[in-house]
Amino acid sequence: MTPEFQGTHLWDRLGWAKQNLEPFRSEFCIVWEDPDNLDEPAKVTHPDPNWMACALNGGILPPVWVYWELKKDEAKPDFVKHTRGYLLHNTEPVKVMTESEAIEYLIMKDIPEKVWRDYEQANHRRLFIVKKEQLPQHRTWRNAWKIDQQVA
Amino acid sequence: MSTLRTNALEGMDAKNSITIVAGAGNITTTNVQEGLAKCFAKWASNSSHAIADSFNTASMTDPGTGVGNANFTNNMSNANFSISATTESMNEAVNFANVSTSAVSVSTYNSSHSATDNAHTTATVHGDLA
Repeated sequence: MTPEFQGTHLWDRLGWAKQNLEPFRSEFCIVWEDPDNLDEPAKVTHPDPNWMACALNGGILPPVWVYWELKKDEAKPDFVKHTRGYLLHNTEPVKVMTESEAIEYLIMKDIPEKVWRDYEQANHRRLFIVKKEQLPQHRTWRNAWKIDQQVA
Repeated sequence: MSTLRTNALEGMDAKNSITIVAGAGNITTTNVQEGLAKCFAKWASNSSHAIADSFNTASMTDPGTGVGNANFTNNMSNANFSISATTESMNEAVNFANVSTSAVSVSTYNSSHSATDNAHTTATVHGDLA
């Protein structure tokens, strides 16, 4: 049974999760390209198994908008350190997520907004959720990986 | 010598800050919260960036050969934290870049200074949490 965690420091919640939840290895990952740097290789974001366990369990992670607020603070020219870290700890945690909801949350948390905002309307498809087995099986040409626009 | 047995210690002035005072004249002190690693991860950049184990890591981004971006679950307070990173291979260099309060990028290079993947790369972060 997950304790009532609102108001508990997020780091302490992660400690509870590490002790009490089994890591969940998702078969999915996110392939994306930076629209401002299309010459760069495609990037691949893999969910962390311990984080996935928190997402699937519910009641541990803060809502994703909290991270957006902290990102806004950090982007300010006079930023020195976070003064609104309490948002991570005091905001009501998100409830149980499905695996796909967790991946969508992770996209909005860890991938730049310019990549996922209105991505379906872009001429150049820049984001995919794929199974890991769909990635190339060796990394010899890793820095040449691109999203196949014909498949997209 | 006696043994203190407890499940929780809590600071009085600040809930998450406890200082241990040791030595004659109370000269040597250790702040428990400051001394703890706030994040760690071990991953394989030579395959699918599989994360063997971690703490306070939400995801790992593979942007290219020899690079792993660790994204934190609990942000750091500022971007002036300390990173220790290593690989299993001798004669390799490890550096970090793109440091923010929410992520850090770790790159590994072989003895010819070319970016290279590894079966075992580890990183640990010390500093203050948001």
